[in-house]
Amino acid sequence: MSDDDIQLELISEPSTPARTVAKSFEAARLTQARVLRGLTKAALADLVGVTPAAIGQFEARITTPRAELLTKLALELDVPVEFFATGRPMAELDAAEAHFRSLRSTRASDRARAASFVEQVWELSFALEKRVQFPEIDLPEITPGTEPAEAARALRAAWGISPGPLPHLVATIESRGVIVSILSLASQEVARVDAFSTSSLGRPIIVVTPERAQNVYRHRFTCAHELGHLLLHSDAAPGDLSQEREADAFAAEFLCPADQIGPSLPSSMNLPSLERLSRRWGVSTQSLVRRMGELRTVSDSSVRRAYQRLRSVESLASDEPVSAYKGEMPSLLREAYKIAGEHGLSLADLARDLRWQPRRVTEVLGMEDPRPALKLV
Amino acid sequence: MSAEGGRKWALETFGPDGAKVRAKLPTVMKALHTRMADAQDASGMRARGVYGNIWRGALETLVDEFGKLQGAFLFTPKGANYKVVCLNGTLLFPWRFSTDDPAAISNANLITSPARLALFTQARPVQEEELDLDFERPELTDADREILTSYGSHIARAKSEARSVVLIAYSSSSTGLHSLEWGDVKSVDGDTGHVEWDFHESLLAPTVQAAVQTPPTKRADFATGVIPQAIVVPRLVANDDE
Repeated sequence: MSDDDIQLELISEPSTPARTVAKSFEAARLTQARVLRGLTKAALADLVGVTPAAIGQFEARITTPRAELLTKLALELDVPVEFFATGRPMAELDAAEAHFRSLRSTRASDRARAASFVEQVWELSFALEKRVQFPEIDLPEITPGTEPAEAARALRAAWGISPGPLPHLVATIESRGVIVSILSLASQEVARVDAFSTSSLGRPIIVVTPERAQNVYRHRFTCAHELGHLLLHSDAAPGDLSQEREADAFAAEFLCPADQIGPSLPSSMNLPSLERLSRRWGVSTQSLVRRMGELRTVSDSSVRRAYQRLRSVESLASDEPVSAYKGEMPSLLREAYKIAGEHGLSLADLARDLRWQPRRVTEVLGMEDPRPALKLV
Repeated sequence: MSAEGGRKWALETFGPDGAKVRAKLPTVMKALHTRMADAQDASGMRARGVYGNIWRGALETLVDEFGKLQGAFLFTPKGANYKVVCLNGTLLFPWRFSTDDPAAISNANLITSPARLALFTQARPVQEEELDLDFERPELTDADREILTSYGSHIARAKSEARSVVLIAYSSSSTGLHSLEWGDVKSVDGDTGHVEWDFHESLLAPTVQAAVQTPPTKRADFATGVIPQAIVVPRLVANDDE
């Protein structure tokens, strides 16, 4: 059977037999599925009854798994057998090419898992882009070496954002062609990733963890921080802590331009006033305290004391969930799916195209309600 | 009161040092507040008494900052165990009128201890106003010099004889310096302590006034307004019949 025959068979047969897939096995798919499940090679080997070395050889393209083993692998990794076949576009993102919000506290395995998630976000967007046209990417060119605050002001000007609080940040970012996604891998390990972004797959993608999205203020700052990376560090190798500081400075100026927020800041650490400002500008009280320190409206010791007081009342503060703010919830992928659906694309079609379980498609689209379900016992 | 009006009043009241005193006072008081708040934190005490000593800190700070100016000397009110700066014939006295409410200034009463009453009644030595305006004072503008020249040399003596007192009224606690005002006192009711101001201005007002840049009715927040829509359109599919 030629390669062309296999391609034709994959397209025409929804349940391609494992033996056919075995003939066109794509090793990178096994790695992607394993990493997404958070399994080591040894753990996966244990589950399917082979040696860890065998898994290593499959992923290194030295040997190919037998058809029966592919069925077991598919079962344990919760993917259709067809997932392991070649014949569709694939994104490969090295975790080293993405900017991670919490670089130092994130394990390499968690970063790899998050990178695999981004690969799937890109693959989903690619599948949708065959049917619908996404907004053109609209990020201004920023000259290397530009100060983060200056870049933030340039972006506000380029996007025509009026002075004052920046409304509906995520909707604004998506309307400019950048994909934002709330990571659907809601595990404790991936929570440490916080957020990350990459522009190495063609279309810029920002991913935020559900933990970051529990509080709309943190969520907005995180998205603005990642936007800073996309503008300032698209050509730079990620990992430098100074880049994280620059992205923070970008986010602070983008959300609260110094010349606009400065006159509004109270002359002392008046927390009730800061809370009112926080609700208006959509940034946390901690960010405003930090801004006061940066703008030198108060002394460093006042800033330290304010942080202490905020920490002491942190447990009493209630989070403002992102889901309550429509303009801060990602919607680009879902909107694209909806439009494609109106023109004949079904969930089953999309799942078949991607060789994913339909449930996985809805997860990456962000259509699954992340809130815990009430169970009556 | 405009900023120009406040500066003019300061020059008329304190002479050539007026502009400098007015400019430095907010910084000096903010720094004092920070030190006292730090001390309160460091004490680990729930009682706010450590910060409460800011009244004495304010007196000492004024002495340190302004007591050695050209037209200044130190004055001890009868019965007091502290010194007060007398500048150009006018006493400069700090008054913490509230711990939390800046608006309380309108009905706050100056507690009239014998020492405080002495501020307004006790005779004080006269120090002639310095009028050597050729002394290097880069902070003074030509308009300032004009005010000083036209206001005359007799003002220090007149202020001294009138028992002139400028109160530096502030509201603060360890959580913040809520307000800072100053002005000269026309009279103080000996029974109630009610203060009648001749002139007074807020020294933190420029920041507060500038806080509102858009009219209140048009204040938007981050969740208001039209939500931008990402424009996603179906791709055109080639029609085989064409």
